[in-house]
Amino acid sequence: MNKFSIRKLDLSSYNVHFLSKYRIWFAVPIVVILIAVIMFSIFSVVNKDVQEGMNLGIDFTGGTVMTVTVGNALDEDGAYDSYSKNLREIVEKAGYNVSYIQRSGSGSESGVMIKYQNKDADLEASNQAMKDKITEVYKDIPADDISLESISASSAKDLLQKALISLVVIFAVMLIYIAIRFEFWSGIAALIGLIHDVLMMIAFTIIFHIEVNTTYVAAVITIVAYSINNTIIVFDRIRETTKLAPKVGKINLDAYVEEAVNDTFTRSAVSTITTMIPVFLLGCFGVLSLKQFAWPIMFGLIAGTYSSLILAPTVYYLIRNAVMNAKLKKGQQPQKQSDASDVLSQRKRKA
Amino acid sequence: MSRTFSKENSSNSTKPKMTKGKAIVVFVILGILITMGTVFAFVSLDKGQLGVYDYKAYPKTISLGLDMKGGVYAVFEANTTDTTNLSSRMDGTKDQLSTMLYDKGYTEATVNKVGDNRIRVEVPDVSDPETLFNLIGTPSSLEFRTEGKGETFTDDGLWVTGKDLDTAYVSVNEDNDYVVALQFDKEGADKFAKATTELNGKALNIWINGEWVMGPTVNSVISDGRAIITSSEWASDYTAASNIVTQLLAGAFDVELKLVESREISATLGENALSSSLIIGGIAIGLIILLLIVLYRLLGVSSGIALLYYIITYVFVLSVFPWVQLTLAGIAGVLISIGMAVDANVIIFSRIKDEYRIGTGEISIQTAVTSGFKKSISAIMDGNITTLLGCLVMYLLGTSAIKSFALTLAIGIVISIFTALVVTRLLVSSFLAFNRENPKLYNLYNKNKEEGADNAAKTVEEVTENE
Repeated sequence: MNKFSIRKLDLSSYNVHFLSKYRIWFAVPIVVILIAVIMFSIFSVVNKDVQEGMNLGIDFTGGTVMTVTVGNALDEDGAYDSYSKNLREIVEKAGYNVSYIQRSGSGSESGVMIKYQNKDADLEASNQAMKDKITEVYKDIPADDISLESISASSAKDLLQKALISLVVIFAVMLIYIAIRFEFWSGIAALIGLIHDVLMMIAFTIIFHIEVNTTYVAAVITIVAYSINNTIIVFDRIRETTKLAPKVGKINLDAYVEEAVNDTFTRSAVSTITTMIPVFLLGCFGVLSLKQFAWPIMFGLIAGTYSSLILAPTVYYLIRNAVMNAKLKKGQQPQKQSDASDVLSQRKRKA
Repeated sequence: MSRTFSKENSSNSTKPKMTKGKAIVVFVILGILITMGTVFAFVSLDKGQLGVYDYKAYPKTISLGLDMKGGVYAVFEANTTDTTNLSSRMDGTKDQLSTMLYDKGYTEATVNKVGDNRIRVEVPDVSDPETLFNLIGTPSSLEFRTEGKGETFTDDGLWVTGKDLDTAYVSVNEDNDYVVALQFDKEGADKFAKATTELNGKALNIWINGEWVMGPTVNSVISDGRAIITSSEWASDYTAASNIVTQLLAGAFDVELKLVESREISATLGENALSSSLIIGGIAIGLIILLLIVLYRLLGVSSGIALLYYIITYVFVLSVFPWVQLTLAGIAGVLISIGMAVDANVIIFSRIKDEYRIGTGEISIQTAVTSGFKKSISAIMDGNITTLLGCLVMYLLGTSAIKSFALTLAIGIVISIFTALVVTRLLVSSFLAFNRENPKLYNLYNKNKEEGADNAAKTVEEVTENE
């Protein structure tokens, strides 16, 4: 035996009976959603605006784009960094949320462009106030070289709408594919898992009040794409084990499902960890926008793993069992039932 | 309960074994591919150094989205005195501009409305404002008139305006020549029908911004609003036809626009986004490979090599495909693809471990490997095909960012299936050629072998009893 026994990690050696605790598995996401609803209400009440419940970014709300033309001086070493840092501080001190900072123009037209959310009622006054604040610090910049414009929400709402439509179609297509390759109830269970993932991501985003911009949509879809893959690995195992089950009569579905999940547990854990490594590093060390992107994906990976390994198989088992019982009741001659634990012990090939 | 273990063991000797010679060839070829891929990924050569061509490191040819790379922004203002429904007409124009930029391949362009009468366009990967106008044309007025070049306009001369033009595109006619196809909306179709009836056999002149562009002769009455313009000028020149289409489309906006200002802009993510992400990606890949080696030893080494091969192929394909534009969402696609590529390996390896662990009697590593690969195929294929279907839907329905994500992910998945099922497999067999006896090298472990044959025999008995 090796001193560093990695195989101790191998959970497939154990047989965890998780299906009977299905109430707990359903309670976990419900509790998370409840917390999110509470947080949403708190944010809405504190900010006196329902829309504030979720931290929607400039792509959704629109805002102000300010261009401060600095000229050739911006090309000097470190000038851009210092200008952009100072300007950002000025804007943030004034109480606005900076979404993007970019360099614009070249040569004598060089400037710093800052996009920030602005919900003031009197935009003209707030724009003038901003100009004053900047000219106060940069006395050599004439007020005419500071331009402020209000921009509409970019196609964010459009994007969201399109993303929702595509999400529904994606769900439908996946359901059909899984129904063909597996069975209809697997498809339904997988679908419930996916909806869970999306809900959990939104819930976590609300709880941690993370700013939502167009990139968020991409994050959600990323998780759907990744999670379905995980779910299918588990269902593939269930398919494989149940294929060998007797065609008629009551089978011990719980044992099959539990075995499939236990068998695939290590693989799912290793896979999720390897996927989390780059996402986690991006979340910690990436540039600001990438951080905002990485954390929702991290939440999604956790939610996705939970749904693939626990929620979807549990839902599948409960539906499938109910369907099976209904069929049996309908008058099919029940087969002689073997004791569940007996079957399990016979099938026990490990530990 | 019919669980047969015997069947799996029976395929023991069917797999042709790889020889050490072949294995060395596999290692050398993959080694050369990976080394060359890495070198060419970082080195650019000028004409002088190589002799014939300039060579640019291929990852640098991947076009970057606006959030990764700078571009140009321009602000247009409505150039009209007609203010009825101006705001909603500007919305229409905004959509037309987005569609047009998208069709031109600028999937990451953003179009915002500024106030009620201005539109702000940001286009990535364009170096100067000139290029932008070549792309979207100068938003302008388009008129179909009786008057030819140099003639003065009369009120009856105007037949159709750009507002009635639905779309224009380059098409091919039965002679395989490029043609410019026009499609009018319902109102436009009626007007165009009138014009072509009146001017059948004569010229219908096209004016853009008050300048005469061309006067194609009307060949027949066109009443369905669909027309094509043929010309020897662009019969075999796609670019020429495409330029005309751009000019026509620019005249088809709901509102005539004039340029107010335009400037270059830098990346929205900041200049360091790409380089810092690359460093993070490199560290992450290193950690992943390390983890795989710790967990699966020689199998992990195989997947580590396969992963390097995968990344190089992936980056190469991304740089070759012209539709790929790397954005933040695209990077997510790349990340998830790498995750899924690793996953395919992990599925196979845990399956091999399972097969070996439950194997009875004289289970060989080769048998476990063979059946491990075989049994993983359905999981890998079903998982990836489902995700691919998702990508297809995203690509068809999604907006630019989602399309970018779907495309990078789909490319990644296809390559990862190949890598897992072919490259990893080759590598594992190659390692097996050197040692197929020591399970510890592969971190495999068999319940029965370690805890005595009694147990094994018992399990088999019970199972066969149940059949």
